[in-house]
Amino acid sequence: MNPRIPSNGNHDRLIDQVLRRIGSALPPEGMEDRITARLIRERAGAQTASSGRLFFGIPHLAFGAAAAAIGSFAIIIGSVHHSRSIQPMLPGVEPHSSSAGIGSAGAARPADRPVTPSPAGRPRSVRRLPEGRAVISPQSQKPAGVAVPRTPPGPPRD
Amino acid sequence: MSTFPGQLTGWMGPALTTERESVPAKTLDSSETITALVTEYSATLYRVAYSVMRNAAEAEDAVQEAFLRVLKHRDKLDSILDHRVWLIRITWNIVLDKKRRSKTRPENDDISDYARILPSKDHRADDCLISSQQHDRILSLVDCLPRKEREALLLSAVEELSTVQIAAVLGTTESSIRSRIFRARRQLSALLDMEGVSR
Repeated sequence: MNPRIPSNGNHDRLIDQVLRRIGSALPPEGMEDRITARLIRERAGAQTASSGRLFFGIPHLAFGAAAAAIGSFAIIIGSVHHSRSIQPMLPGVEPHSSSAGIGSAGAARPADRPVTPSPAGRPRSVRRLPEGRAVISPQSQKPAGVAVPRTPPGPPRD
Repeated sequence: MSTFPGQLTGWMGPALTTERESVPAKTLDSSETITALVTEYSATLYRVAYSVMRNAAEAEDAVQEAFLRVLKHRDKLDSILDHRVWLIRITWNIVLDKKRRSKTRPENDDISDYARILPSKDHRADDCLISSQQHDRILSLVDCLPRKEREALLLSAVEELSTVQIAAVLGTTESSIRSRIFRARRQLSALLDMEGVSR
């Protein structure tokens, strides 16, 4: 019990004894040495951590992020380049040779030459919709050797 | 006292020299200052921690943690006016936090701790009359006191601390500390009366 604190009351002696006991506890043997040893250990650990934190003068996290960004950019560029090289060409449309490397659908340009019409002057097949089903005309121009089936008669569909 | 003083002096030197090469003299000062703080205040801090934790291992752990925080904030050492109050405040916060976290755990008062503190000082003969059961019962009643009164009473138990220093640790005035201690003792007496503890 702190002697500067005046004591009064009925149970003061009992309270003083308890407070004096907990207030005068002796530290365990070698506590100072253990504290110092732990401080040294922590300091050494902090040293190791700080020395491993830098890689070519750059923190590990920043270095990893930069490497990931470069890798991702290279993958995207390679993918775009590859897809452009195998893109199927529509008739009459020539690929737009862009020097920028990345184009879009809007970048397609019309061909310089006129598109050749079909020899019959109409599409290769005719769709007749009144009966509700598509009918292939027997006169359809098919390549030689391709059989054209006849449309079987049937009830009209609603 | 430390058994390896050679290790203590300048133990912080190499690391700080790499971080701030321009101030090697200050580096040496920091390690020497912390070493001196450990030597001078570790026992006091242990008693402060023990008054709350009442377990030797946990009290020592709290003191170690306090000095680790000092190591972490060593740059502030020069600006600290009263190292004793600063260290006690750090330790006090640590033990209160530990106590709060261990509220759900069962009581861990160590009977060997009780045996260790009995012969620690030249107590009067009547001090030994109090039984361990009474000791534990009164401490459990102390824990039932309101927070402000309990904290002031427990810190007043540490002999090295004056009321001014207790006030500085708890961030209040000296008169407030005196009245808190007075109220704590009065409430504790009332609780002891209710418990029927003999005087």
